[in-house]
Amino acid sequence: MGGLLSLRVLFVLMFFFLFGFLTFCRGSVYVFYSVRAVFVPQSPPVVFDGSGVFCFCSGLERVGRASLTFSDFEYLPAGWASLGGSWVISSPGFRGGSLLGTDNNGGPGGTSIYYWVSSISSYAGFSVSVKVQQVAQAGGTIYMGVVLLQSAAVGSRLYEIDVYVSGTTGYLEIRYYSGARWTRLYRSSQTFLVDGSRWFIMLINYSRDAATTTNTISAAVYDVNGNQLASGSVQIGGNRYFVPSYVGVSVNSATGSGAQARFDDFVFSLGNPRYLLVEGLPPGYRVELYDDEGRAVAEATSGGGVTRLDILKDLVVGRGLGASFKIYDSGGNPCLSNDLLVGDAVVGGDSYRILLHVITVNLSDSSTRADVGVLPSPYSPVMPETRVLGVINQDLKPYYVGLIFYPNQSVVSQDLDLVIELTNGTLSTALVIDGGSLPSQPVITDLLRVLTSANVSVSVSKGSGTQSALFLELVYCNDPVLRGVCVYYPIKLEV
Amino acid sequence: MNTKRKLIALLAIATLISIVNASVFVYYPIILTISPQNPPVVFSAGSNANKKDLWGETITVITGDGTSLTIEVHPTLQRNYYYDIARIKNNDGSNTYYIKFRVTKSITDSRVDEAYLIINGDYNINLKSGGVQPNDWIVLSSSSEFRVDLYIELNSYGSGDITAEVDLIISTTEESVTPPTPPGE
Repeated sequence: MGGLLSLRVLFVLMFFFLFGFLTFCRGSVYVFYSVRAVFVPQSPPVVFDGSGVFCFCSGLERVGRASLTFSDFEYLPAGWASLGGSWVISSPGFRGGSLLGTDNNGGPGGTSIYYWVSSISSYAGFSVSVKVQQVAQAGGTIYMGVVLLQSAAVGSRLYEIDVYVSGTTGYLEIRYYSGARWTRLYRSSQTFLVDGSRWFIMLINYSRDAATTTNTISAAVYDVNGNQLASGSVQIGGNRYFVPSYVGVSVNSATGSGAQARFDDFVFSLGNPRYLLVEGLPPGYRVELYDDEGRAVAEATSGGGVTRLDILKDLVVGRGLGASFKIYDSGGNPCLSNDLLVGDAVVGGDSYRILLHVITVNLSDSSTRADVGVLPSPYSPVMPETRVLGVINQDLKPYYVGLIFYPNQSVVSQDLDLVIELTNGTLSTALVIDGGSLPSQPVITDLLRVLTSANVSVSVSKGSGTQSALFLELVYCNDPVLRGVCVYYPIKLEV
Repeated sequence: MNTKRKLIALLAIATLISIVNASVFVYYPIILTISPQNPPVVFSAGSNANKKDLWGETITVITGDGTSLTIEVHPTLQRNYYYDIARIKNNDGSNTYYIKFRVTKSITDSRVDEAYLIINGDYNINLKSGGVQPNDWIVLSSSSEFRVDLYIELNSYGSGDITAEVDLIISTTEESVTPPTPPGE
């Protein structure tokens, strides 16, 4: 009985063994095909271009003006009047027209004066500059220069700071007229040649100490190249002290009437009219100033902070109709869009702010990897569309090129608004990156057909003090729909 | 008598043992019938096979009789993606097959950061790693077709070719997790 039971168990075990064996056999058909992949690496047919540090000037703005009035005398300025003499606009001036004054002994002390009718009495310190040119002497002499009047009347007291010419010898003089008679307060020991064609620049500083009732007048005469020809200074007190109320120009002669002089580039300023102040330039950057007819006026290299441009030779730049600045980086390379035009007069003592953005491009891996840094101007967090990177196709056939933005691999500040696009004459669709509303998936531009080259352009608007690091790729394919072979180059864009 | 019986018994046992040690051969018939078939699963060229590669080169794809695949491409630095260079097609209209890949010669070249054979955009076969991939069988339904893409990321182009070798393993079932290694590999 026990043996029969063992035989049954044996049969059951055999059944399960056979079932499992058959099952295994059913899954045991395998077929093997060989696959061989051969990669033949090539040099990159498309590369990035534009490694280095370069600058982009998006504009400039005048942030200060020290002059209270100025004139290039292209026309008779409004708000001026005369005390004696005849005053007309004539050519040539130093640039454009000039003011031609002819003495008729009709003003205070027999001089002829053309003056700004606004009161300057409230200013305890100021500067005046004007360019003068002798046209005609009377009796062998001429006085031509600046007057400070006590009142707008023929009987007014005045200080006259002038170039006095006797024959062909010029002097710097400072004179006082009491209302009854003239007193010479200063005549320079330095003399200079005066002929009919030379312009002279007069730069005068006035200050008043009301406590001691003392006026101090310092003056210098320069040629048009900025060389100082004469200078002098006087302190005036006692009964010669008065508070100047008006400023103007004058022409006179020691004897007779009919002396003639031209005036140009008049500036009345509460600052130093000799310099233009420019801020926004990194150290080592150079600024050049050109007048409205394209003549170079001044240049200076920034040491950081405020850069001073010495424009003594043309204090109302050009014809007073505008000017242009050109900016160069520390390597001497011109900034992009570096022709910064000023539409109105540029005057000594003005302060300008350059909106200069610095772009740094580092290329590596045989120019197939780009790290781009954009440093917008501290004065303007908005950088208009700027080329930041070039793309060169070295192959003979075109590729279809686009840009991809990967939001999940990027760190984007909330206040960043950035537009990046590709252009090769036609624009790709733009990648619009809004830090406050990032896409959840990568986004791509359309693909541009690029035979030779293209550019990557970026415009930025951001808050101050925030930083973003964007990860993008340049993609190029041999067909326009991301099929076939496509190559992807990394771009890191830090803003 | 007892002694005689014992002797006879011992003799009988010894005879039996000698018969066994003298190799008794028994022959059972085994009949193998091998009936060659058209391969139900074949390689074929993708839409970009033998089309232009970088620098005017050609994406070379050779499928032979459909049971082997040789690809030659010409990538450059960074990430290169070759789309639809070959297909794997199940010509069997009524049976599903299951496929895996065994990387028999992986890429060890230092110029390569990553390299994948990509099946139907879903399965990445790492060409830098040997062995069978993926873990689960890929189901190739009857009459269906898979796209084969190739991806490689290079940090240098230098000189010299880079080769990877792979077996496509086709199974009629998906039960066995580890397919056998064919002789010679």
